[in-house]
Amino acid sequence: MSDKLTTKYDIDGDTAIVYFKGMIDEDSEFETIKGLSNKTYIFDFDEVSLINSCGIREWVNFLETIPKDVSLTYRNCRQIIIEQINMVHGFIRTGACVESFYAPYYCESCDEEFKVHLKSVDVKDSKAPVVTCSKCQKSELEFDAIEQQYFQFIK
Amino acid sequence: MSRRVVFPLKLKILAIMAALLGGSISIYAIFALDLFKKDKSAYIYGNNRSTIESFHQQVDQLISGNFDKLHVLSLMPQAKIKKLLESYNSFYHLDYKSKLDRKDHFYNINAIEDENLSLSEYKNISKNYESRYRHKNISIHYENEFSFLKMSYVNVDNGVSVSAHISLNLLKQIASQFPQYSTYILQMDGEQFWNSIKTDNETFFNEIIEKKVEKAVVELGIQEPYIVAFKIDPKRKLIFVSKIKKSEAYKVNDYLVNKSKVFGIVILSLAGFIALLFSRSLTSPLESLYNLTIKFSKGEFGEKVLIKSRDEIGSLGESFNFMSGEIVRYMSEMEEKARLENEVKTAKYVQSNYFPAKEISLERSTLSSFYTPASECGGDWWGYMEFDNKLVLVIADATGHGVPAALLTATAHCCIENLKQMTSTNKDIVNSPARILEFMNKSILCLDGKLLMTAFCCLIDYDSNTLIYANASHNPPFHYSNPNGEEATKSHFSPLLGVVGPRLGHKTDGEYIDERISINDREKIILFTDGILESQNSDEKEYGQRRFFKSLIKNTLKENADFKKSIIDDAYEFYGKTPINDDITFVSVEIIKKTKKISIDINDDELKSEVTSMHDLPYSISTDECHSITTITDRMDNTGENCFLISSLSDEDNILKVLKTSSLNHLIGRNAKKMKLEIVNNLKQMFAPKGLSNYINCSKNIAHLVLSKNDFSKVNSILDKFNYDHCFQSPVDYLKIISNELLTNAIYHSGSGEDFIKRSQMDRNISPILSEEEAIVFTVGSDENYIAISVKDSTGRLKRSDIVNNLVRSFESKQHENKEGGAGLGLYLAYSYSNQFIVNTIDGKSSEVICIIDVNKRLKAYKERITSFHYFEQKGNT
Repeated sequence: MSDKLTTKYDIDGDTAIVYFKGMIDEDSEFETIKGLSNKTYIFDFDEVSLINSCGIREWVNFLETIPKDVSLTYRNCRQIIIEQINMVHGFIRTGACVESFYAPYYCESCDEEFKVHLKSVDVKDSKAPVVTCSKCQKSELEFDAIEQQYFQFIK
Repeated sequence: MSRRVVFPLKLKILAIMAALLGGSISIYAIFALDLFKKDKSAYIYGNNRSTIESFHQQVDQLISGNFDKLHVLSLMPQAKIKKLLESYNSFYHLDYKSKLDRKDHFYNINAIEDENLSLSEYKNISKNYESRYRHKNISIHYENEFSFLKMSYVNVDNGVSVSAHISLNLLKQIASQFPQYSTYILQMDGEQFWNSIKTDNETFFNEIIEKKVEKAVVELGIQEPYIVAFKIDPKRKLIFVSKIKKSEAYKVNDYLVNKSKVFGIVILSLAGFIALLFSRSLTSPLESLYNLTIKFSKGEFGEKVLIKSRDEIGSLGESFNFMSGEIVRYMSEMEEKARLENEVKTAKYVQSNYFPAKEISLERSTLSSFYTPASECGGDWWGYMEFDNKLVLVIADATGHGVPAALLTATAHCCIENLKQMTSTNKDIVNSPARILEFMNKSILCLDGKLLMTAFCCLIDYDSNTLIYANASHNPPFHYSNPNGEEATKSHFSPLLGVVGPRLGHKTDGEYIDERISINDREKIILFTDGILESQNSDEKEYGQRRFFKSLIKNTLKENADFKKSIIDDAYEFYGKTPINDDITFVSVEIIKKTKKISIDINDDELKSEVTSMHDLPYSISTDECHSITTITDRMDNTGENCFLISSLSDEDNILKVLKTSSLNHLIGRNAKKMKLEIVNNLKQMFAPKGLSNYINCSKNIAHLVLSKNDFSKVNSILDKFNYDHCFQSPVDYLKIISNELLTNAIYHSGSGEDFIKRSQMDRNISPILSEEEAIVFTVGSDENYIAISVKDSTGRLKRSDIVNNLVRSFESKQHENKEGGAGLGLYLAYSYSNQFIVNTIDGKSSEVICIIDVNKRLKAYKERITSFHYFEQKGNT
């Protein structure tokens, strides 16, 4: 919709860190990223607000243009990005990895939902890591999605 | 019921008497004996003191007298001494020594012989002691049984010294005056000078000396205490002592104590005997009263007790007898009251059978009613009858309430029952509410106008869509009509006015007039009695027509049973705990199109129980599948297009294995928490398609017209600001995706002919601009159960096959399409992010996609929910 996607870059040697902000949709522009020609891309989705079906198509098509020998890492993936990775073939290329992401947790005591930032390496056997509530500081948070489904991308 | 008597009253009285008397006697005895002991002590001590004084005085006189005699003897010429000596009976002999140291001895032969001694024996005894006590002027000498007092005197005038041996008989005589006492004389060195009892060695010398007083009476002795009186004679250097054993001295006292004990026991025994007699007179009536209470407990009321005593117990007995009589009287009254109450209850029960069921589903209408009397029986009544595709309703309110009014309602009920028998023979009556009221009036007139009844009768003719009604002074009911489905306002409720006839039973000729209006499907007739309006709250304010009307307007969109419930709940919320002061009857009649019967064909017992327990479904549940309009099932082989299949499969399997391979239009996720609500809502949508309003309470709806993609930002803004109370944190993200996809699809599949082809193939970077006729209506709304998005276009082109084919492709490939136009994933995303995916297509007119998310706090529950699918298609001219 009107929340157009913007991108920023940090180039560190062979590594390009790409920060996305806004909605990934049919109007999203990835051409400038293609021109970076780095060996490693790190995509940061921390500020992606939304993604629609045309955005998915644009993203998948963009990935196909990146040479196969380029290493891809997804960082700070929001829940909607993780769900697209799980739902849509090609949203993450074979060999690419998700470095970190947000996961829904729930605190029974506070009756509140939390988006907890996790690293993929912390997820073992599709089990959500144990997290303590940052609000009440006493309750163990309950993972608030279906673990087998949510952590599909880690396999 | 009786408790075992452990400590009887007799024993208590005995114990009290014994305690009182024993205590009194003991206190008196202790007090009196103490006084007596003190007095006795004073006497003993005083007497002892007198004794020692007297003893000392007499001994002193004796000694002095002997010295006087010695003085006389010292003055006598020797020749006369012998003669004088013989006159002194107590003198045994006298030793005389002149100034010139001439010694002479004189013997009183008579005195010596009185002692059974010869002179020679005496002289021998006397000689033994002469040398030993020569230096003392007074001493006592003992020889076996014989003893004597030796006194020496020197006459300083003539130088004569005399020494005499004197009998102790006088001393013994003195001591014998005090037979109770042991008297003795001690020398200052502790040696016994003389003792009335020779064997007594307990002299208490040291204790006497320790007292350091000249005379005293004291208690001495440790093992055997003595009362000892002593007097020290410094002149003679002698200590005079009299003593008596304390036990001996107080012998009388002990005797008195023992006598007192015996006396006390005698008194206590006597008192006990008297107490026993007294307690018997006390407990005997009490036992009688106790036995009477036992009889009461067994239900033997009316028994009496005979108590002759004129004390409190006698009064208590009288009270018991009176109470017994009163209980019998009260019981007979209670029996009578219970009989009457039972009859009233029976009347209430009988009257309750006059009323139709609370929820009635008829062929062409639903009737939902509420009735409650202000007392056991009420004066309100309502009833109905059906014939020839017509429905007759009567509501009536008798004057007053209670049993008389209830009897009048029985008459009204009988009238309708009679009329039911006349539906084929007297059509002119049953087809006219005015004639029905006249018929009822004649029946009630039999009561001579003592009881009256307001009534309203109406007839709904389904064939002619006509409502005919007549009124006998009853509150005019309301007719709710909202043909355009607008938000309900006051103007949608019309009172059924017209000529108002007299109350039933008031006049011989009722003069009731039939009024006519048209009535259509989904309209309501709301009948009620004045009790609902006139009942008051705690501030004595009546509920009134204004509040009643507001409640009607607020709740009118609800299904008929919920509508009635809400109206009654609103009224009772106003009344609070204040009892209603009149009977309340409320009847809502909703006209429906045709009978909806649904059948159940479920294998899973738990699910079957859950579904069949939905008694308050607005549609009747039939076992006959052939005549039902739809079937609720969990059997995968029963997937006719109008079946409601409850599926436990995943979303993917539901699309690929169920919807792809069948013509099923209704699939419900097995884990839907509000299964009944979902079924009811979709049944309503099936039979009375109203779109979004069949799913949520539309009071919070926000709608926006979308003409191009530029309007998406406004839609997003609406979604951002919308209130998602009681829902998980991130529904807005999902709602935005759903809205975006549905609106994108609607925009790019709008128009017709070339426009449609052009737009559907248009690059998605370019947005078509829709005309106002083509405008897409976006609506978001929520209630306590659901959050819903509705996207409604004006094409009516979205068909089941398009939807299912798209979903099948998406679930199979999980990839976008590389073609002109869209990515082909829009429906896939919208479906996946919805809990219910509903499509309502009016062929050629409009297509509405409704995506519903259940309101719940847990994202997990949202994610686990199997998405339900419902497809409704109506002909364009419907």
